[in-house]
Amino acid sequence: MKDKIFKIVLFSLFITILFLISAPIMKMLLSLSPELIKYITENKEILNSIFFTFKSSLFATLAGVIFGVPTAYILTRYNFPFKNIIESLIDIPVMFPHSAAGIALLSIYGSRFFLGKVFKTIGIEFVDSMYGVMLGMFFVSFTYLANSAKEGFKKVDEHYEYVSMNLGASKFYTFRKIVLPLAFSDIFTGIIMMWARGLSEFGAVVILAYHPMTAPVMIYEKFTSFGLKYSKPIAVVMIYFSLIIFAVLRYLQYRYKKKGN
Amino acid sequence: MLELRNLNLTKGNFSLKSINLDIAKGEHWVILGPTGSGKTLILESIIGINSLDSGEIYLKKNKITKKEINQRAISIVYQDLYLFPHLTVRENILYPLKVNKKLKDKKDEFEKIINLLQIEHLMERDISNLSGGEKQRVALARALMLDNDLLLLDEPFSALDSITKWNIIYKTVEIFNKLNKTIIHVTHDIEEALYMADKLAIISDGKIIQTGGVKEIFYNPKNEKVAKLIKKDNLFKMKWDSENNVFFKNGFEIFYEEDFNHDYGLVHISPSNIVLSNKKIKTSARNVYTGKIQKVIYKNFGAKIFVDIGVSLAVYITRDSLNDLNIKENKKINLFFKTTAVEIMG
Repeated sequence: MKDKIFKIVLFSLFITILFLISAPIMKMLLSLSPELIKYITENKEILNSIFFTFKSSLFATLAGVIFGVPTAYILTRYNFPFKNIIESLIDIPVMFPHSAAGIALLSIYGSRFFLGKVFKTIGIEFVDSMYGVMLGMFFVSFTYLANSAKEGFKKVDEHYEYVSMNLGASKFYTFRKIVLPLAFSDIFTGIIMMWARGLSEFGAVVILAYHPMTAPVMIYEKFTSFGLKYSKPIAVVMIYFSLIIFAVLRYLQYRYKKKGN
Repeated sequence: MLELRNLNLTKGNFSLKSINLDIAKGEHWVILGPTGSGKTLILESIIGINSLDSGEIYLKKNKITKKEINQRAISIVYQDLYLFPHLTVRENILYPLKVNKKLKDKKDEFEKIINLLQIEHLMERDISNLSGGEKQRVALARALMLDNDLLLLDEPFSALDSITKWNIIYKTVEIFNKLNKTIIHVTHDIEEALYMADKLAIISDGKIIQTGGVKEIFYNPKNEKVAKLIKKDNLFKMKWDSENNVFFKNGFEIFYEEDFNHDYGLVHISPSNIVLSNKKIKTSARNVYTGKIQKVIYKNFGAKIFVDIGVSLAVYITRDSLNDLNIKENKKINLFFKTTAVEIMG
């Protein structure tokens, strides 16, 4: 009897959460109508903003891969002083309000501040530029990729590396041909998570680079200036694009995993 | 071929202490010791995974102590094999050729090795589709592709079930006989060690406590630790009564003909030399007992039974004796052995 009650409670909670999450998404998906499509296609700024958001998040994620994969590998394979503190440091950006992250970024990458000045010498300005959007996205979403890659590297027994090197391979060859493929599925999960998190970023981006306008910033602007009717179409299209892209990515990941098994 | 000179290494709470070994070309050495005694750490020091605190390693008279893993020219096969799961069998075996430019022209060697190990039919298979024994042969083939003279085996048969294990051991010995490699092989399995080794090194708590030929160590273990590792059954530390020429412990006495000059002795009674009988019989044997059968463990040769005679004594009997004597647990039985069945160890 107790087991039956336990099962009922378990499934009730499960179904409730499924409903709570899927209801707003379904509502948005069902809002797609010929009028909405017409409205979007006639407003080039909306489509441009959506493509800009995807592009910026993609570049931020590429930067995340370049820096995050080696960082994760170092944190998994090497021991050094203050390692725990450094690991916590990487987790911090997801822990405080993203608007605060925006303020923090502005205080150092702003054109009057130290790193802002340094980057300006090579022609990169962050305030109100695509670089600023990418930086905001990067800062708040890097943690997801780094942590996921770390999990991936942890799953690869170090002995695979020893064996590869014992068979004559260099450390770099071993990393490329053995470690990366074996950890790839988790790294790919990190990539998806980072890209998705970047797409949805609002707080940090709105403070560092209000323009060029990303889709989340545009949704906010339309909502505060004109109300729900004008902000909703952007949100609907954003959700459609996101769902299609992530479904494709997850499918590719599934195929890769299946091949690996 | 390989000289280990005074190797010392601490890893976590464990230390290897003054490891010395001289391994000649073509010898098959087995490092035998219980789990956690430091066997794998020695192998990993030889291939260069662990940096030593002190000591030197020489391969063919060349010092290799500081060389990188990929520069040492020593092959290893681990217990867990570490076949690359994202590569096919063929790709795994050819991996050494792919990464070593100087081996690029060794394609003939590939054919020779896969023929020798009889794995031609597995080439396009994924690693996950291989049985334990097949994986074993693939890992060995991959290690042999390097054509190094020295091959290290880290508990290579431990992950296999006992039937597969012994089939593979017989086959592996055949292959090794054809290859003329120098082998260092670590295991905790005494049977495997005795079957495969030319020479044994007994290790305990990070220290090599005895080295020598198999026969030498088997019949003359240096101390109690070695004896316990080599002879698991019927090993007793007993007090010596020189007046009556008996060893005794807890009311259990063993008559021993030879002279003995210590207060205590480590006494071994060969389980194969103990005779069982349902009736009390007249015998010239001096050691005669009556006891109760505690446990019967069936073996291929018959059974290993434990008889309580004040101590628990293991006795090996054939299948015929098992039936003739109607052996079963809790049954009373008589047993005797001659003084020649008694060995004093250490």
